[in-house]
Amino acid sequence: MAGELKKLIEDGLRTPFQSRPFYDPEDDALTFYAKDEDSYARRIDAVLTFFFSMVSHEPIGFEIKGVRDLLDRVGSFGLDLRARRVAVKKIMMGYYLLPERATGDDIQVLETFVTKDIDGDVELSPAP
Amino acid sequence: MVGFEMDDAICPFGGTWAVRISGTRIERAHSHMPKQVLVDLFLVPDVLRSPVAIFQNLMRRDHGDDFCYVGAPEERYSGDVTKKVPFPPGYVFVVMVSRCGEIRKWRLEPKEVGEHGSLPEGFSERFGRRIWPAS
Repeated sequence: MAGELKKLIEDGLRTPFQSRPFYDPEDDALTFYAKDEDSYARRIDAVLTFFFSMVSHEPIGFEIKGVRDLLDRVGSFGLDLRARRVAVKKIMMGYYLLPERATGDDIQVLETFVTKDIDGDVELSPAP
Repeated sequence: MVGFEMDDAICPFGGTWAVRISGTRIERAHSHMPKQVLVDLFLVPDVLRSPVAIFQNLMRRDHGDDFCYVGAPEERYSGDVTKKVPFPPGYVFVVMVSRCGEIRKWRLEPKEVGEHGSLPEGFSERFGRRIWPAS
């Protein structure tokens, strides 16, 4: 087992890092890393988690949980069901509609990721 | 891609059980996550075999039966997997496992300060109950 795991990890180290958001259908979560840096996770609220650089302690990514609930809040506008793709901004709209959510600097950080680092849609792929 | 499976993880309800990571999940880690996240997969088997604590109920819809294993590794591999370095002080390693034994995520999180310093920050609001070790 240890040998299999080692091979899986070493194979991955040869694959270039791509700063792109991805949706995990089993976890129902959207994850995004802007940088390939050692990091730690800190929960901001029940839905939002930021990833911080272990070196600079600046935010380098985020996780949004409960994506299906967030999309329900904003309806089907902008959702391409056939292609199963959705604009990341639409998921964010659902988050902004939550009665209990982050405010102030945390929202600013999230906005910066969405406007500066993320381009377009994310695939709502079928469960692996 | 083929994932990996181990059959000697501590079962929260006694004994051991089989847990696994799907190939799809590892493939995502290959390209979309920092390389250190991928390298930290090496920590997962030991944390699942020797956790400090296991919580159940991630307080999310459809995740009420899922588990969070908490570990306190002493060291880990650095990014190029050539040498081990001390595990960063002030952090714990957590592994989220579904009730079906599917490893969903693994990561470093800040430790709680004070009496519960071996547990992740905010554990009392984040999880339904601590089920291991049994009290």
